Amino acid sequence: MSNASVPIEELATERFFRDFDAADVAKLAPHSRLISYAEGTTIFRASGPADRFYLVRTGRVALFLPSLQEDVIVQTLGPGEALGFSWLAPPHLWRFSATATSDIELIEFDAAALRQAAIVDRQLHDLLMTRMFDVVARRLEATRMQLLDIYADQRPT
Amino acid sequence: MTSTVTTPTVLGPMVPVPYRVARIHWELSDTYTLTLTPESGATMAFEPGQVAMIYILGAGEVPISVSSSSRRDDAIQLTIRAGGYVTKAAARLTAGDTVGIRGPFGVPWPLEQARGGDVVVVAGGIGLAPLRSVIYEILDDRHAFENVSVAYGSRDPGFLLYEVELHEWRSRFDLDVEITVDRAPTSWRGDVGLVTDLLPRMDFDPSNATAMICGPEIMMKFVARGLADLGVDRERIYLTMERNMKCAIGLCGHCQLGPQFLCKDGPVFPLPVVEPLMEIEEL
Repeated sequence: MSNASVPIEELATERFFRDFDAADVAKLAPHSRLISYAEGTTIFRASGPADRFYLVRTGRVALFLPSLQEDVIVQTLGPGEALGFSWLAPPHLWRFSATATSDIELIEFDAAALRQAAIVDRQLHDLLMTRMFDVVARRLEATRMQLLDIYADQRPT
Repeated sequence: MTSTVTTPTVLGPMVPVPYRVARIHWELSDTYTLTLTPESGATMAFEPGQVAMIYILGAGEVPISVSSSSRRDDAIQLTIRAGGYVTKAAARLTAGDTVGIRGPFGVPWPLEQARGGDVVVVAGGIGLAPLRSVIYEILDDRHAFENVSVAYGSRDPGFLLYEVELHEWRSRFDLDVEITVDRAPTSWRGDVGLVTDLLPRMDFDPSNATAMICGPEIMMKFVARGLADLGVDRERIYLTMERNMKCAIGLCGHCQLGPQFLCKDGPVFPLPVVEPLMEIEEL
């Protein structure tokens, strides 16, 4: 695990930054680093401080809801996908837990630094919020589809 | 006086042909596969995606897509979810019972068109059944296609149709099979989420890919949109529709979807034909 920032040109290839120009990516790069976890590692726990934001580089991450009976996976995330949006708004606590379901590589961002960068730079703020809104909207859409239980009443084919 | 009995050599499309139940295999708690062999003569020749009308004596007739290989067997297989009166009656059949079969009917999957390019098969729930015959066909002629990807979505790990085959397909080096479920305990090692989330992870070239989709309509709509967003030509995105088929020969109109009759114009359609119809309420 390195503390070195992820190079700008490498960050720019991430799907999350597809609408960002190089100058905007450069503002975020100093707050990033590449990390890896072995399969089975807990990345964060529900109710813990949401002080990081991640992009999945390789492998799979399971988001799950801890339960007294049986933990339930609500979504798995793969390469190119954003992990975590609880860092965006108070109280900055994770709503779900996340575990590596394979060996993984993540790009990790310091959430407080991202928020600060967005406060002082309106354009960066708008770009980040637009991208994060897209992530949240897609998760909401997926959740609604899952709630519909669409496979339950399929007619015979 | 001698009576003459004339045996028709060609039965009309409305006349069921007797088939015997060779086997009933329960795939899931509510879904089973009937293996049927003709009581006489040759097994119905069909192409993947085509529909057979199965008549259960004393109960009624329902349309079911053939789920077996069109090349491999002397029998046909129909995978059925026990959801209604007829399909529940069919679930009580045992080996040796007789059913009536009409067909095949309808337009098959565009396998000829797909040759030489990549193929993306996307199935949801029991929608894997009409696509299993496509996968068999591709595997039997694997060199004729480039990258082949299968994305399958289901409710939970206990509702995976054809689990044995899914394992077998996943172990092949010439087939990319991704599976996702709507919910799962943490013991599940696969994906959780929408089948559409699998699409960007799959290895296919949108410029030459043909996509075949079967599942709940809302799922097909989202998958088709996702594939089009990835650059797949809308004319090469195919989906299979379901409506209440009765005569199966384009006369009764029960399966009418706007200007289309599913039994003769479908059930497999290119996206541009059905996309506007899927937006119309109660159609």
